[in-house]
Amino acid sequence: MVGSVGEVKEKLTEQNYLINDRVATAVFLALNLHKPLLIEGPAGVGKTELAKALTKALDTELIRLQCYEGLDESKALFEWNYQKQLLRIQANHLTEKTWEQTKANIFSEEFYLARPVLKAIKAKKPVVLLVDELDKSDEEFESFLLEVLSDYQVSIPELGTVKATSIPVVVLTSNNYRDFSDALKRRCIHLYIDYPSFERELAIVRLKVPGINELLAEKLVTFVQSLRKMVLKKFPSISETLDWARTLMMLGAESLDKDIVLNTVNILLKYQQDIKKVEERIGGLLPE
Amino acid sequence: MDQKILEFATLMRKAGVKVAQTEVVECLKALALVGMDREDFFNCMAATMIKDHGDFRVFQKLFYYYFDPNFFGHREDALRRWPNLVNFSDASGCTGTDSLPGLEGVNEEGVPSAGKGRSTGFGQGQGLSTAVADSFVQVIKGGSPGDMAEMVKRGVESLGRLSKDDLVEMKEAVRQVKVFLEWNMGVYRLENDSSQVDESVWLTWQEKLAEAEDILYRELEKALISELGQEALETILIRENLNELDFYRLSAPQVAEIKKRVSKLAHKLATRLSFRQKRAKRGRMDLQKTIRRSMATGGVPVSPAFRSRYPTRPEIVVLCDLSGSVRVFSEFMLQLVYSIQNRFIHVRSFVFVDTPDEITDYMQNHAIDDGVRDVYNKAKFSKTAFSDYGQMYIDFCSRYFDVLNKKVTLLVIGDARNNYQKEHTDFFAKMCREVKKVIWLNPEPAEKWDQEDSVMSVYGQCCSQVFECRNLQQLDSVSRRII
Repeated sequence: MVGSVGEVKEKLTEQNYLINDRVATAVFLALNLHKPLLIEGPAGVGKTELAKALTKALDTELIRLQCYEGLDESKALFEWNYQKQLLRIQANHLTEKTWEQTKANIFSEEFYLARPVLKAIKAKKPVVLLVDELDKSDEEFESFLLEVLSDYQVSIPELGTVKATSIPVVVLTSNNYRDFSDALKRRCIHLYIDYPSFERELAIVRLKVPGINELLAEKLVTFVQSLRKMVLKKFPSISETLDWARTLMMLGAESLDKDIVLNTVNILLKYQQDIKKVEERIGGLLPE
Repeated sequence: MDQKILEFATLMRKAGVKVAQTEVVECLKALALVGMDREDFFNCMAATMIKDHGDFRVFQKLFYYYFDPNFFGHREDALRRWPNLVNFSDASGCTGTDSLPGLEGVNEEGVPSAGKGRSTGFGQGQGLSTAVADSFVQVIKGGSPGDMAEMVKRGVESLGRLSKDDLVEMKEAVRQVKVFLEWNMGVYRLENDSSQVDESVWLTWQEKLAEAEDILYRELEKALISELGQEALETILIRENLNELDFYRLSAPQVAEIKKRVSKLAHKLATRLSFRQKRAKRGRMDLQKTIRRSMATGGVPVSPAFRSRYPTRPEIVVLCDLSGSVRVFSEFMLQLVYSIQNRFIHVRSFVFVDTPDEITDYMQNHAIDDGVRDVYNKAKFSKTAFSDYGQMYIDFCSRYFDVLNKKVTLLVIGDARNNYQKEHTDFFAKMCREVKKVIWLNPEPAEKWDQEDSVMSVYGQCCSQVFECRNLQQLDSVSRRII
């Protein structure tokens, strides 16, 4: 699919997603070794965004499976279409078909609904399967995924084993809400995305918020970077930096001053304690 | 090359990182794809072998030491086999096989640090501002990363030839380097200056201080490894195994890492119970209900009824020794208890050195770090700064005895080192009789109990359970049993 680490970087940059070498290497390996890519990191650093950018870069389709507690096979893999099966049985009653014939028919491909995992496996050309926030799902679901992740096949009792027609690119994301089993980790290429450095964050702001005043961009990134050095309950993430930058643009701010920061800081910080802490020290935190 | 990577994986396992066989295979496959550039090589190994971000620091460290050109003499060997892996920028021109050139130089010139005659730190730093502390402050305030490394290197070199003792007592070696650099004086002065500068500048300084500490450990370990060889490397790695590392040996960055893991453990404990209760619908038969139900079927008990389980939520009283070596562990335990507060009806906590003081108010509904800071600033738990369990029991009985009742689980955290004071076991026994259960956690290795001034077995007789709890692994298993 892609020939080198450099190419991965190039292609993702084209999609307005800036990455460093570590991320590029991990993505490259996942693509070439046909392994799932497990992305961990704090919320809002662009884990899901990476999967989306990757989809566009590979020019394919994104199939997304959002995980939550209680997610089970019928929602993730496939489900029998009961209504349709019932209709068929009733229709068969009017004809001369025997029960044996009916029974043979209603468990065929026509009567099931493919859910994300099966869809990804049966797709004609390789797709990107994004399993989002896997840490929110139950442990049982995690073990169910193992078969899919290592062999790209699933076993359905009535149909037998379904093998992948094309190997999908699997991306798993996690907020580290709980630890995964070693069995799962072993099968994945692991990538931890952290908050970006000053230079990279500035580049991201420039790229994603076109037309932003150069001086303002620099100042707001400096401010956010020093917030991350403080002891806070939740640090502002990249997505929040971008939201803030857009807000400041909309308000027509030319530069940062105390009032405008105090009025808009709730976009960056989501806890009252954090906001209070910053308000107390605002004078010292503002860049010159 | 393959062999080096296998060896690397073995070393990683020694440091407590799980590296599966397939992951090594994966890594080799990946390397074949990516090539041998140092940067790529690092990224490749990180992506395939490290599956937990907590392990990344260890990996980085080992990579730095193991694929280092100075690593006990395999430099030539390395150069021949994978030339582009080895850094050529290494300007010091190291040719020796068993020591860093800088170290030799220092010794020959007879700088006051050779051999055993090292500065001890006593009697130094009389003047409030010395040139050394000045330069330390300068470097932290405005020096480049290069300056900082340079300074720390100078400090490590001041130790002269390193011996096995330094490996065993690394904390002591670190202290000596710090004395040489007048580290604490520098930190003190930075703190003084902090009121006059912007918050953002102060934050940068703090970051730099932490970084300098990191570099210090790294340089020292590197020097030890090149001096003492493979054995030192292994010892250092085993020390990185946070799960099995004694609490009193932790370095500052490790404490931060452990804090993260403790909060994960707390989360695990909190969810574990709810998960179990969800499933545990079977249990003891509720005879009354079954018979009442059987009336409908003419007295035949068709469907048995079970007693549903009520989660027990004990009241808990924590009594923490805050003296010396127990302190770190006490803080972890406080963090653990307060992160799962909702598991208990009440948590009341006390700290002591020689007299108890209640700290419940500082800890409740505060961020854990703020709480701990308040405890040190406000609580009055020490009159003489020497632990005295006996006196503490007497004071506890007179001031807080009403806290105890039959629902309470009393959790004592301490090493039972009494400084040869009177034991006053009768008071402790009185406290124990008053509560449901007494659990004592001792962060010292069990073989040291009852040695010197430890009176563990005297107090242990009164307790329901006594646990040795000296590392994360034990903390994990103990907390599973008691919570």
